[in-house]
Amino acid sequence: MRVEKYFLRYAFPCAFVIRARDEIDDAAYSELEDAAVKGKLIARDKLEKIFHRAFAEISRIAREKGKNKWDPSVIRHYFLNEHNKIIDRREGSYRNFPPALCELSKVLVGESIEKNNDVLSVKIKDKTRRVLNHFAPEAKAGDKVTVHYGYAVEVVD
Amino acid sequence: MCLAIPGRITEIDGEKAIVDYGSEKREARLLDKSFKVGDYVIVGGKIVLDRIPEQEALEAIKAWESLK
Repeated sequence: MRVEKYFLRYAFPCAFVIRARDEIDDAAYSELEDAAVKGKLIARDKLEKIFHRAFAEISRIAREKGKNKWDPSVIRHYFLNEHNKIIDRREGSYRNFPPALCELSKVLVGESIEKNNDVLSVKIKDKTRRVLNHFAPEAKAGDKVTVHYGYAVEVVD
Repeated sequence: MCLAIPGRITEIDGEKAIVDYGSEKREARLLDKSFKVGDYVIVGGKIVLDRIPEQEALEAIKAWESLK
């Protein structure tokens, strides 16, 4: 999978907020959704501009690792390791948010226990969450998947 | 940066719900019949994912408004 698409699948769930902040319009939001689901490529500079908060962190990680910010391992490291730490530190916008809502914004790993059309039920810790499978249509019951907000993002080992 | 913004269900028609975010309303799909008009909910990918207690939802909306 192209790294732009991989990035977008993890980042797209945040686009709703970027839309709500009026940083992008409805057309740009739909373009992102389309690209995330169908895989249409969006240029790297455009993604960096839209998701500038994520890329501030990704660039820092890349510098520390001596790698390019678009290296798949850097993108993966950000979403699987660093993204949640920002939420846990309650920095910036997260400061005043109730913990339950911060939890929904994290990238978490859970076990898919049921598939119903395009909705997966995923057991995360002691809670079951329902998420869309659009980014991971291959996920089946029993698979471990990463979940970000309302989406299963990828099947993991 | 990722935040979950709660909205309030103002209409339900079968599987379809209208969710009010104050400045705008959006349509979302309901996955079961447990949701009611007046519930504060989190929507993702046009489906209603979760119900949020009113107190928590109002807190989140207040925090969100202060960012704008």
